[in-house]
Amino acid sequence: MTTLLFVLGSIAAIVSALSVVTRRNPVHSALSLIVCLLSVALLFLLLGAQFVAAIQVIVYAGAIVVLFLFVVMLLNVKDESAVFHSGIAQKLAALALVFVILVQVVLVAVAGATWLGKEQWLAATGLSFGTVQSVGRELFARYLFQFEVVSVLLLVAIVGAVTLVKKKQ
Amino acid sequence: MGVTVSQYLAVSALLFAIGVAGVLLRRNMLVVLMSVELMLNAANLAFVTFARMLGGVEGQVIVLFVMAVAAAEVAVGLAIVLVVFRTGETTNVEDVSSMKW
Repeated sequence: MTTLLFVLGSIAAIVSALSVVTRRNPVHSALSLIVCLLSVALLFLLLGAQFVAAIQVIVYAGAIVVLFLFVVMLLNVKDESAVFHSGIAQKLAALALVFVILVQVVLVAVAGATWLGKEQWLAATGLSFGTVQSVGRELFARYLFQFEVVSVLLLVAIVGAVTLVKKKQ
Repeated sequence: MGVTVSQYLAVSALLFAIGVAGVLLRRNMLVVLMSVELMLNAANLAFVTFARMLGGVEGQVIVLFVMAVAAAEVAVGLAIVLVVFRTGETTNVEDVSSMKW
């Protein structure tokens, strides 16, 4: 059952991610992004991280993508004439770079996981792994300072966005 | 459980590579920002996978931080897109070259 859900979730995530990159209309890209984020939330649930999955749905799919859609509607962007504008040499160079990055990430991640000698799951994760309680205790005890820094960062982002968009008098 | 760590990490790597491809190949600023979101999301998946593998919750705390940074980045990025569109009526990254040497 878990394997089936994993296969379905990862296929949905990858197909919708490809769709984000290849749609001509930005609205379609944003809607595919929602599907991708929800599939990754499913993968989070399968990993046992319930709180992160809920935050993923609320913050990412709920707030960030709605912001994207809002801006796309506000700008009234037309469909692009072509998905990829750049020349053939630039395209080939970009694809080669993507391939190199993919190989590197796979090597580092998969080889690292095997090197640690923990290819299978640890049995001792228990029920408290992804609950609000355990994550919150860690967040507000050991990572309190970082939490405050992130809140300042959000404040700076709000002020920056408002200042950028404000019309000159 | 039948699914292994490397399978989750492979999905994460694929999502990240698709995001890189979007940033490098697309010329629409909005889609480039969405591709950056894809990459951040792939990193989040790797964080949660490693947290699960090592049995700690630190990885999930980092994921919350990444999400906050992503929200800040999208807010500022979309504000910049809005200003660029207001001045030049374009969302194409190649039309924004006044700061290019």
